[in-house]
Parts: sequence; C-alpha cells; structure tokens
Amino acid sequence: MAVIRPNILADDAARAKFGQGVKLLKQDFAAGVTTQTLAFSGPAFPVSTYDQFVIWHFVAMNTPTPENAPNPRGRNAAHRGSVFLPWHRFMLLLFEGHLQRILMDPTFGLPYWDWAADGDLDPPDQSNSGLWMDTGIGGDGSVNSGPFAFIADDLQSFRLHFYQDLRTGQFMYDQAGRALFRQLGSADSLPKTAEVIDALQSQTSYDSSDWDSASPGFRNVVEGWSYSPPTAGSGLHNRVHVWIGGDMGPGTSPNDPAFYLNHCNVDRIWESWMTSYGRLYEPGPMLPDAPAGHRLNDTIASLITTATTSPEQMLNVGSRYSYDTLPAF
Amino acid sequence: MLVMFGSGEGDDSVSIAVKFTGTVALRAAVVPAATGVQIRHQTTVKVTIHNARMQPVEQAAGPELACIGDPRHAVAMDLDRVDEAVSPGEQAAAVERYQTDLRRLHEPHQHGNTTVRSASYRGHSIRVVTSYDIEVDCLPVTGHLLVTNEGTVHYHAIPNQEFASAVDMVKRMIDLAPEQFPEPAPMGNHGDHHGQPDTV
Repeated sequence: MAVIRPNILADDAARAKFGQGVKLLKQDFAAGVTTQTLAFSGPAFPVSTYDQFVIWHFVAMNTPTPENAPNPRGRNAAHRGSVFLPWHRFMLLLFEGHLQRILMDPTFGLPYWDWAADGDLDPPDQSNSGLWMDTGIGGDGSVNSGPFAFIADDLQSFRLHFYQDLRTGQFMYDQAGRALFRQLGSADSLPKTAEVIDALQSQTSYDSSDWDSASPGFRNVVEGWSYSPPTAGSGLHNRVHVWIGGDMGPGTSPNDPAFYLNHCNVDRIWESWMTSYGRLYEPGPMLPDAPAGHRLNDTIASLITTATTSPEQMLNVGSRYSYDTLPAF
Repeated sequence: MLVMFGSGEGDDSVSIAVKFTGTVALRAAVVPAATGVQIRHQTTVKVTIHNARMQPVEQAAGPELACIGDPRHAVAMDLDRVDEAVSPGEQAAAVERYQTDLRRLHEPHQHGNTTVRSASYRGHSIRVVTSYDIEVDCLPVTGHLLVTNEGTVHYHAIPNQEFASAVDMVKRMIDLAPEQFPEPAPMGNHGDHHGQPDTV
C-alpha cells in the first residue's frame, strides 16, 4: 500500500509519530546486534536498530567507488557520485519500513522538512521554525528538551553512542552516550525556494562524466557540490547539513533525526525532477568510464537487510509512497 | 542434534523442507509402511538439504564473506514486500553477511594527507603532490584529506563541505565538535610570545 509522505510542519500527528517511532527504534534491540558483532573490543553492548542505520551510512561513506582505483575527488558508495539519490532513497525506504514496524502502523509515511520554506525567512529567523521547538524535534545546542532530549539518569532517553573522532576519522563507541548536538545557523543560511526552483529548471540531465563531485547535472546540484547559479559555500543538501551543524557534520550524521527529514525533502525534489523530465538515470551500464557502484543496474546493498536494490529499481517507487505535494517549477 | 520427521511411500525416500548449515551424522530408523514393522538400523543415506524455497542451499551456507555491492549476493528487494526486509532477523543476517564491510568501522580507508593531482594541458602532463602536516594543540590530525583540482580541501570526516584552505577546515573541525578539542590549558607568561622577550 502506498503511503503519503507529509510536510512535518503541516502535520502534527506525523510529527508526533516520527518522534515516537525514532525513540522506539533507539530502544529496539530485537536483532541482537552488539558492539562485539561489530568487532568492537570489550564487553558486548546492544546496538539499536536506529544506530545500525548510522553504522550503515558511515560504512558506505568509507567505501571508495571503485575501490581498486579511488576517485580523486573522494566518490564513495553513497556520496559524491551518481548513486547519491537512489542510495538514500533506499535508506529512507528501509527506515520508513522500520518505523512502520515499530509503530505497528503500515500507513505511516516518513515526513519531510521543506527547508527551503524556512530558507526564505531572514537568516536570524530560520532557527525559530516550529521544527526546532520542543513540539518539533528539539532545539539548538545540546538537545535537552523535546522528543530527543538527553536525560543523564534516564537510560530510555535519546542519546548518542556512536560518533566520529574528527582528528582521526575513526568510528567511536561511547557506552554512556551523550546528548545530540546542533549549531543551528552558526555557519550558513538555509537554501531558498528560488535555489530549488533553479535546480529543477536549469538541470535537464541527471548526471555526467566524471560522475563525481565536479560533474554538471541535477544530482550534483541537489547534493550540493555544484551550484547554479554559482554561490559561495555548499549547495542544497550539503548546506542543510552545514546549517544544522554539530552532529549533522560528520559521517555519522544520521545520529540526528533531522538527517531523515532533510533527505526526505531531497528525495521529494528528485521526485519532482523525474516527474517533469522522466525517470532518467545516468550512467547507464555500458559507459566505459562509469564507476562501479554508480551505474544504473549496479547493486545497492545495506547493513539493515540482505535484500538489495539498484538505481534502476529506485527510479519508480510509486507503489510504496508519494508526497503530499511536490515542489512546483 | 537434527531431528527430521517425514514419510514416504513405495520406497524409503523422504522429502521434507529443512534449513540446516553444518555437518550431519545421520542415523535413520526405517519403518516400512506396508508392514508396519519397525526396523531399526544404521544406514547410509544420501541427503540433499534444501532451503525454504527448495533451492540447493550451498550458495547460502558457509563462511564466505560478502561485500556490499557484490552482485553475487544481490537479491533485489520486491517493493511490494519491503515489510519482509525490515525485520530484526534481516538486520542480524545483514550484519553477519557484511562482516568484511563492517571492518571499515575500525579501519576507515587511510590515504593519509597526501594528494596527487594530475591534469593534461596542451599535451603536457601535470602532476601536483600536496602533503599536509596538521596539528591542533600539538596533537596530529590524521583523518583522510584531499585537495581538488580547484584547490579546495575536502576532509573526509566532514563530508558535506569543501574548504578554501586547510586552516579553514581545521577551524570548522573545532567548531563542529568542541568536546573533542578541549580548551587548552593556560600557557603562562611565556606561552604566547613565540620567542619574544617578556615585556614589563
């Protein structure tokens, strides 16, 4: 059954269920995955379903594509290359499926955050959006209120256990955990609606050679490495990570539930593009310079399930979900 | 111990669906249906073990390590059956299958801080090798860093940004994770003068 993905700022029930579901996945240890399963030394501590998504994202980010001849611009199994959009669509599908399972609600649709609407506000007002209130997903700095509040003596409260050491790049585990950390608006402003429309209007091809962070095309503009028109700093998706800051900065960014709201909006923009230009994807399987892991029929695998997918399969997911509205242009 | 129950008519063949991985020593008790007489004896029986879909199980069994993206292990997800892909059992199976990839948690790809850039211009080959030696408070920064052909710096641990310089990159690193960069201890009267004589 296809579900409808709603605007989180326009649907109080979806916002509440998202918070409830994320907290349940943070406490969901039914899979029996432990730190020992993940080859950490020391005692075995349980690893939640939510944290398993963080781990998957980090592993993909540390998988160069192709592995035997790494791209000089750092293309990996999920980013800085053509597979960026279908890879994250697969991730969201599985995340939404787990939320449906844990909420026992097959009608639940993952909400999106239309960050461009907030980007149209003056920069000082952007962090005053309802999203960052206690009735949304909590606020700035160490998140100590709202659904993802950290309460030191409450082990059921939201806490980060896995993070990236920025000095070394190493993946780290902290059994005690700590609060989620944000720095809303400290380093940039949110993208504006006009920038989304410009990406949709001006980018008529999905991607192009060298299929990396320097390639002209829609994927790279939406991911945020190239800009149209050229602007300083990061573009659309990337700039949302930068604007939130804190735990949205490193490769462990799915630690912040805002990650899913951002990517759901990115997916919505992609869906709008395909609705207008067709369900097109590049590179095809036969192009000689197309990198393994980013071609139309290449396998996208997951640390969440043994089932796999491909960019081709992710082009049309109308049987699973649709959006309440798509960006118009 | 594996216990199998089944029945067969006309001969001693038994067909039941089981899921099993490992070595089996089989002791069979054969009960000829026509007589109802139970004959207990040991025998050699050829057993083919199938998985739930009655396909030979060899491909799924054994300690072979898979890799994410390896097409040999691709089983395309049916979009109408996502529910089956989001079970705790599937989570556990994926972690077991992708142990090779999980090693990246502990050994993120290390290319150091040296970047080799190459380009062609009017038939000439250009090669630029750039190395960084970065410290913060006398402690080294060792994460993977690269320089693009446009000269921007990308630090793998801050994956959504490129920087005009490595100094900007390190400033951002400190801003993003202040708890990883504790306030330096006061350096006293001599610390900030870089060899200059104290003034009175």
